[in-house]
Amino acid sequence: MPLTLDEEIEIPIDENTTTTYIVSSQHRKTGNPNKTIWTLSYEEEVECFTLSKKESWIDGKYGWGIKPSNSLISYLGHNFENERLKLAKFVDGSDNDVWHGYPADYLRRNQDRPPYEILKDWVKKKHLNKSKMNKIRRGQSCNL
Amino acid sequence: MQPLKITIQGDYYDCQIYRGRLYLWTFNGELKVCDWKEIVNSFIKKETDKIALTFSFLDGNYLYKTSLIELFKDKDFKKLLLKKFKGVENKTFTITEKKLDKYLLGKQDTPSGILPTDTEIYSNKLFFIHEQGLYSSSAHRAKSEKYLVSSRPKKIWDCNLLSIKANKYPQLALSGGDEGLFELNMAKSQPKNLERVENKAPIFQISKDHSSYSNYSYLNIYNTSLVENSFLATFKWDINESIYGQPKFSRNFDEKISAETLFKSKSKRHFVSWGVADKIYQARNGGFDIIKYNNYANPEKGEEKFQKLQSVNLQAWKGKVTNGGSAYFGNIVECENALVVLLSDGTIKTIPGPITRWRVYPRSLNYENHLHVILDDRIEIHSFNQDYFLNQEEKTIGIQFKNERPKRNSTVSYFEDTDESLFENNDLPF
Repeated sequence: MPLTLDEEIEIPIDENTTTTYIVSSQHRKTGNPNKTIWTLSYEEEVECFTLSKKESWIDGKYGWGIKPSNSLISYLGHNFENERLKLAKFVDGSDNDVWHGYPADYLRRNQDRPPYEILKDWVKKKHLNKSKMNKIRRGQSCNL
Repeated sequence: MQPLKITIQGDYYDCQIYRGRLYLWTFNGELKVCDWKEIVNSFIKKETDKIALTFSFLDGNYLYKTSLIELFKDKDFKKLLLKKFKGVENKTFTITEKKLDKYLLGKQDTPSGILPTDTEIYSNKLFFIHEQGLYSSSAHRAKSEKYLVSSRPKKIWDCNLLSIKANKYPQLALSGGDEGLFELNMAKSQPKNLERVENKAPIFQISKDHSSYSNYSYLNIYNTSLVENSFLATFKWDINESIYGQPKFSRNFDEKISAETLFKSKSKRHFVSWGVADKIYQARNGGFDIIKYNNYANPEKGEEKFQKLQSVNLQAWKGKVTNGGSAYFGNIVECENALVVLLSDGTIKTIPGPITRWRVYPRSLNYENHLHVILDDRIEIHSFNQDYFLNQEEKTIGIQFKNERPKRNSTVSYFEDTDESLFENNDLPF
């Protein structure tokens, strides 16, 4: 069934657990300089979130995502300057396991930098190297 | 003249060198404190190598002494010393991770349990930042202590900072990304015209504009933003009041000078710029420009505060300039694919990436000729020694060395790597 904007989608994580995700229209329309925009399809956005949940890239009410592709990370959105973004941030705003997400602009926004433990796990799983982890933590550009 | 290099194998994330101790943070979260003097001494196999290795790795400041500069004007003396350096420049100095244990003074979990985003050691204190804030831990503790760096750091501020940089005076520039530029000012006299943003610590907001990293240039701070305009925040000394005939001074904020003004640039494209001490740099397509900053320029004598010195081109494969720094021995330019060191004698050394972290120590008294580079499986400690033989007033690359530091006792020079007398009077320089 095709996915619809701003509607809750139930996602199975494992045999016993499900979670809920909303593809937010706020991050699908241009014009707001404060909102980053997904370039992934709705389905790919949900896949990115599902991977984040399954890999436990969750820190409290925030989750962090990437779209691994072979040994690289694919870009998944852009900011108002049309700069390509490769990290995603997911938010469970009401703390009730209902999530939405957006492409994270770690260069421009402090709150869009993934925490240490998540980045370390990405290095362990070879999605990043130490150098890129360090640059993300310091808000510096790198070829992800 | 080739630089010398000591390689220590291992998986490292950050490093510092301070008063004879090398601090290595491993990627698995340990902090190793090593006896640097013993490491260097282990490579001195012949008495004839001692001078070159000692000056290169233990006592970098020694050769800047005015008396020696006079001596080097005699070609025979200069030739003899250069021969000493030449005698060791092709030797390989490597320590395995296992062998490093022999030189360990201490090993502990990194304070607070999270690897730091950035570190500074200053006045026997380790300052560090990570996502939970700014901390300090006492460092350089006695060897008899269980932990050579306190395992119970004090949280100074909870801002999620990107970088910190210490000044010669008791100040720490704090770059807070979209939160702006701040300063932890540990001097007794505080700025009168900046907003204090933390009750528990003397932290002042200098600007609300984006700050990726910053560095001191005399009294001032050059603020680099990787996404917005960079600027120079200038400060001035104001006389507050006179107590018993003694004037009291405050270092107050003066003005913000944008990178566009400094570089007379009209381009709307964003290029990274950075400044350290007497030079300011701005990247452009295929290289960067250098501006000499003369804080004491006298316009009546026709002197300019900001004067363009030269343009440097970089090979395309090295990628876009992302970061930069300066030391006496040269400029360090971090590109996407390599670290480029432009030496003060005009030569260039390229260290291919990926580079986890690099550090220089221009504030130090013994390690100012060091460049520490952390790669995937090792740390390389480079020593550059060409700068001692150059005319400091004429060179365009690297910070100009000025023999203006207080005299020190050469017998303890190995361990006097920071001018600690600066901390005895917090109201410096008055």
